[in-house]
Amino acid sequence: MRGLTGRLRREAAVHALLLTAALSASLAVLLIAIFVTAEGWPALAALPGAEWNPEEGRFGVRALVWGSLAVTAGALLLAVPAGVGMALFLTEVAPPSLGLLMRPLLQALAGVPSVVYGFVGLQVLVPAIRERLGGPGFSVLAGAVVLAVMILPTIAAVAEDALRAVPAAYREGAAALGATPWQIARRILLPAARSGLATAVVLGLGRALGETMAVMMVTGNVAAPPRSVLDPVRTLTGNIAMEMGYAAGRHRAALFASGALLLAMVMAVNGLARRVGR
Amino acid sequence: MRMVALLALVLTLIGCTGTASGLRIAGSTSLQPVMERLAEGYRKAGGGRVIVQGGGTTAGVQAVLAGVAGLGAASRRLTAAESEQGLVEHIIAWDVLTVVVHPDNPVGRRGLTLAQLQALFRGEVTDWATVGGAPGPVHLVTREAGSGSREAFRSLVGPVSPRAIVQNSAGGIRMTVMGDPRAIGYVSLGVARMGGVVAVPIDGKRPGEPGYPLVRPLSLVTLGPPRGEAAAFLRYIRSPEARRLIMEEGLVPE
Repeated sequence: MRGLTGRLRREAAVHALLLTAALSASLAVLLIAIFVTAEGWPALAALPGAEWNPEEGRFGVRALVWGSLAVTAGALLLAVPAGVGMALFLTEVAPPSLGLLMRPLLQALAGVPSVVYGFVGLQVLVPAIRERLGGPGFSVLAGAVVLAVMILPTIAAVAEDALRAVPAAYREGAAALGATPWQIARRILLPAARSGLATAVVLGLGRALGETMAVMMVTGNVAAPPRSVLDPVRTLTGNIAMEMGYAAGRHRAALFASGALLLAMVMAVNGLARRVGR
Repeated sequence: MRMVALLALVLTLIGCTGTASGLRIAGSTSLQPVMERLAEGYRKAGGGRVIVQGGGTTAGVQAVLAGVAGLGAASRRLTAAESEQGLVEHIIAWDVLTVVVHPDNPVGRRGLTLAQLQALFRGEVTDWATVGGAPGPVHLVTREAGSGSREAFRSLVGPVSPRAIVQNSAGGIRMTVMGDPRAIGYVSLGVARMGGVVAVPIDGKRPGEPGYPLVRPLSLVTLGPPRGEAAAFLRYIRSPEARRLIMEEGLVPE
């Protein structure tokens, strides 16, 4: 009898502990959101403007939003076909031994600190773009390529799980009807794994939108809308990282406001992920 | 906004006077790094505690006037109005802004006039051929808003095109220019001398030569003649040890 109440009490204690952990995590997010929004409040009205020029007191972030979107879209354009292709290869084509070799390599790719990607991008990619394609090298393209490499492991891993979750009967049935492997992949597997693949894309999108350091190192940080993929851009994240050291007054508020905007964008993306994941 | 920053600084300083003693230096953020090193060197040399704070030249000057800072750090000359209030400037070093290009860029040898430099950075001259270089687009490289070098460039040369590439360190500018024969940027003389880039003569003068136009005095400001701890610190700044520290920060000692 006493043993049972003791166990129940312990259960209750563990329950409370877990609840506290869960609450503090969500509370932290909430507090950050409130803090960032409150600090940015005085400059929130200035954000929709076209020009970011703190020296003249202009804090429009439209060009920066375009910058973030352009780099992110470019990264997805490169990483989604590559990641999904990689996942298809690992689940459908590759012998299991090759998969055992490739998966740890992909995971290692995910573990490389972003500043290392930025440095390699700066030393290799930026000069290559400048010499082969023209322009200053610091560009939307450089940012997109660096980001694509960074989000590739996420996309490939989530897509692989999604493809593995497709029941074997689908494949076998299609094969029995004489479908080629390509037909199976395109007509059966990809549609069946659609929601998982969409989750992979949205997770990559969220990561790309929030990445700062690597992008800042290779995009040239020009706060004007890019006219081509070879033009430099500045992202919302890069802008905050670059100017927070000096900012005071309205400038500081504007950086917080753009942080709040970024938070809202990432939250919207996560909400999207939950919806398409279902 | 200036006023708010100033008010905030003054309030902070007043708030601090009760708790910490020592010489207080407030002012230009461009001077902050070198001042912090000098403060450390001064203490090691047996001097008292020196507290270094930023806030900008104007805020520093106001803090000296209000008596909450013993020394103001100024990266510009005092205005006539400021001098009339009894402020005295003591130039301690020169910030030599150096315009740098790739070693292959002929402009590095031929030099630029100040007017050409202004036109380049305003974004009006977009091809190197216009200013005696090899034909090709000009890639401007600048520092981020708020940086002391950018502020110096803006006051000595003029506005910078919003299309200029932004690097958030002098090292970043040097690296960019080292790698790109069409790039032009500006750094302090110390960074330019680290190699890989060529300093462009302006109006026929090399950086460091007398008559080179892109220099600004960095000074410490006192209210009336320096006394006590402030005078001792100013004496320390003239010492060989302090001059070495100043040079290590890429500045030219007075």
